[in-house]
Amino acid sequence: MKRSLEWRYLLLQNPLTLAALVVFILVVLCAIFAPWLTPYDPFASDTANSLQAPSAAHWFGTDQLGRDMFSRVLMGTRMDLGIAIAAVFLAAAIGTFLGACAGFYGGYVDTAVGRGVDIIMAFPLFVLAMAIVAALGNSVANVVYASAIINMPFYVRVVRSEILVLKGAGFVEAARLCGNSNSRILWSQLLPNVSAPLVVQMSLNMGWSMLNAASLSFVGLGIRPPSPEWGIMVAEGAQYIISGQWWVALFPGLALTLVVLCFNLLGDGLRDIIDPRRRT
Amino acid sequence: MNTNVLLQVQDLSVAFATRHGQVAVLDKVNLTLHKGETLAIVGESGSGKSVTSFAALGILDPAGKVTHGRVIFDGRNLLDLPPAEMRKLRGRELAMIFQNPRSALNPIRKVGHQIEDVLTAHNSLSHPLTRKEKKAAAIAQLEAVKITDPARRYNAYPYELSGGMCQRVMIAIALACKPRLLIADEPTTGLDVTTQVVIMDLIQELAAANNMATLLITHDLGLAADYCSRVAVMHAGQVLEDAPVASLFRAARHPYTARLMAATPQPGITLERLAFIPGQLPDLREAQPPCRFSSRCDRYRPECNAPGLTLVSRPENASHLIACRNPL
Amino acid sequence: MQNTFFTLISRRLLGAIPSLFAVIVVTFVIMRLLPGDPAAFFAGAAATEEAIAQIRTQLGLDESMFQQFWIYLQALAQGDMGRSFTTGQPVTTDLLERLPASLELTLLGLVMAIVVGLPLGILAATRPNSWIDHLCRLLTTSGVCLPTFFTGLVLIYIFYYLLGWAPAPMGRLDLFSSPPDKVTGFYLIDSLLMGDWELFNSALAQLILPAITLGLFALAPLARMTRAGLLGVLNSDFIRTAHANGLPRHVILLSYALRNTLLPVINTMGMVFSYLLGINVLVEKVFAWPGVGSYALEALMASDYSPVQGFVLAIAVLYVLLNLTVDLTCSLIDPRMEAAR
Repeated sequence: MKRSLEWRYLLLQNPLTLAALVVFILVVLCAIFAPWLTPYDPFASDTANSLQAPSAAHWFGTDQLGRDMFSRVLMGTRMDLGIAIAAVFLAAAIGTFLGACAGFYGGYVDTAVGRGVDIIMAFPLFVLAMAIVAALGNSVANVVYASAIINMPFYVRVVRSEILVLKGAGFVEAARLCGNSNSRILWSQLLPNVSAPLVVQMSLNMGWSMLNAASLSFVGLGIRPPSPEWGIMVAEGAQYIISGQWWVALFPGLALTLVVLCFNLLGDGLRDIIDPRRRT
Repeated sequence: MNTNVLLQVQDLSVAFATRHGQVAVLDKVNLTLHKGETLAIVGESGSGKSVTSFAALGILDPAGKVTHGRVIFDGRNLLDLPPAEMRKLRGRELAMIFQNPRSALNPIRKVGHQIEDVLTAHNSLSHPLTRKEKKAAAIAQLEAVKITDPARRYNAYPYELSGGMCQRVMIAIALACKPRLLIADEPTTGLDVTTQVVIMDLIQELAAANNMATLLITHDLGLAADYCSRVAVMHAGQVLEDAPVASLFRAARHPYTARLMAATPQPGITLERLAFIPGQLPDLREAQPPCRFSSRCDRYRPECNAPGLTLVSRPENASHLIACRNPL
Repeated sequence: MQNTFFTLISRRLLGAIPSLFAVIVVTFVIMRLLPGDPAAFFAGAAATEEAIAQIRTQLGLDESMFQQFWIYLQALAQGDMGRSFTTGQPVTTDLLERLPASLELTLLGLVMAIVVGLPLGILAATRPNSWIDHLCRLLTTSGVCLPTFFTGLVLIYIFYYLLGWAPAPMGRLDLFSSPPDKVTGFYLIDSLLMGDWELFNSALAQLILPAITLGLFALAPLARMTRAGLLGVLNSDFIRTAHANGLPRHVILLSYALRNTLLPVINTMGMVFSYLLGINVLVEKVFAWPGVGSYALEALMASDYSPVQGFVLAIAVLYVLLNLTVDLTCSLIDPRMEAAR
């Protein structure tokens, strides 16, 4: 009871975070219920009505094949949100495991993990993601893998440094004296204490990873048309921008910006709540 | 008015704006410092010692506001001066040195240049110093604080010097323009014991040589006794007792001062026998009774709650002031 | 002094070799996974099986992976990055020709971000909770959310289609100008060297929108770091000392606070610059910019591995040089770093 009151107080103190939370919930609902919310079939082309400006019938207009942009943007929520969440969770899981091992065991494990992270960071990250998707082939799963790989180093670093600090803490010694094994200490004593910075990192990462996925499909890698995905839609709309048909690119672009903004605000808000010292 | 008075703090009250509303940090502080005199302000951390000096110098944190009172320096109320005027007085007439000398110096500027910065800031327009003269003055200043090989140390950065050395540099900076008042805010905190003595001796010597008054802020009664002629005892933003050292140590009249003395470690007193002061500093976010020590005081009486508590002279010694309704 | 600088530089360059080698290995392996048969591509559509096999042997593609890598390394040591089969030119030539275009764009974007971001961060830090502080917070929060490719398109729509202020987003120069004589490869500088103002204006007009697109993205981290860093420094003990000694406000701000804030800001600049090099690919695609990013992207789409390997290596080398510059600049500002070596 006390705790929920505290959260409510903190959210009311941060109206932006609250607004972001509301938008986030709406976006998730959109993603879940998209197939039942779309007024048209997002794949159905209607060449007689191609490139129609926004109207009462087509709120966001239609694209070059006469497909309803509103339905496509709505369906795109599913794809983009799904990729971002999958990539972040995958990156967090692998990164936490590697970072925890590196920080806890030190020595060769630490060196090996550190080297691996350094190699990934020596690449231009977006270009690395491009190359991975190109090599593995164009599929949604490969976009997730590529995003996860370029996000992973950040988790390794966060978790490793937290574990290094916590390792020397009294409660770890106490657990050891009680006869707990190394792996048990790591999983039951240390990792729960890392969860707070991890959650912050994940929420800040979510927006970035969404931008990455959309950028990949914008340049033509990963997800292929006609999948309703925001990056592809912006890419398709790009050629019509210079002839004045702005709506094809604008609405998916705005949707992407809005959702990323909402993730970042949520991340900032979470960080302020969990760790006010790092506020900048 | 006594022309011998250099600094007079009159009924100074300061409040800080915080998330929990206004906090009355200082409550009608009164202090008097004569020319060439050394006065110590003693109190626990958070008692308002430093805030008093920051307010006097006009370098309070923006969240803090002087709500009442005056600070008369050499006949002028410093609080009425425009900021630009006040800026010119700081470093030239009144200077201040701080605790943790290493972090109190600019880490990426040569110490010689930091001395020159003060000289430049207070350079007279009619006779501006040339670069060479400034450098010579800076080196002379380093020599004055007894830094060996001053010409070489002129080019040193703070991280290359020991803590004691940094404190000497800070003293050199503060005294570069021969101020008439030096405020030393816990100047020996963060230094080892032998260095503490050397630094205090240096301050004392330089003060005597330049006929400079010193305001020593400390939590160490022993230090105050050794180096100052008067001691003002502060607690929770109030001056409770203000007396010449001899008189104070012979017969402290305020219950708080007496307890503070009993709580000072001395040779021959074991830890179990060392007295302590019950309770803690009152929470200033809440409204306070006239005497802020009353909640911790074992001599509390109902009349302690009457308004209008001020410092008054003791009948036996006019220069021994005390703010207490039920003194020892 | 000069000597320590030299040893620092050489030590850092030597230290970068393992990670550069790792980049070469990883890129090589990934590129071998690309779909398609380069030999068939080279031979052309009408080639016979024998012709393709012959070319495969010529290219060394029938050797083992290790053998191929060894051949690649030997060539690399002689500055030969292989040949692009889409442009038909050596990759080194292509990269040298296109790198100035990318660098000019990225640098201008970074300069714009610095020119706006630093003063914004400084004003925000010195006036907390003023309107400019709120503006700074708004820009830093929203700046990182803008998808660069989308920002570029919006700018094109507004400034090219609606207002007609900007030229068509079709590369480095309009159709009627020919490039300046190559000295630096930066059109802005080369046209000035020729004294050709018209050409300078044309190049600048083409450059401005893509540079703003990159700049908007770089602005946020720079302004954020400047504000946070300066706020931290302004609250530190030595600033209080400076105030207590009566130093003038501008001296405190400029030679005490800002110099101490520069370190984290320069580090951020390095990070931002390296990130900009990566997302150049997107901006170059939107503005049809003939830089290394679009070159690598086209090659990647065509499974043309040599240009991609060359591009990644070039960027990795740029990273190393960039980090070195950042470290050297920091050690010039902060004497403590000199001692730490």
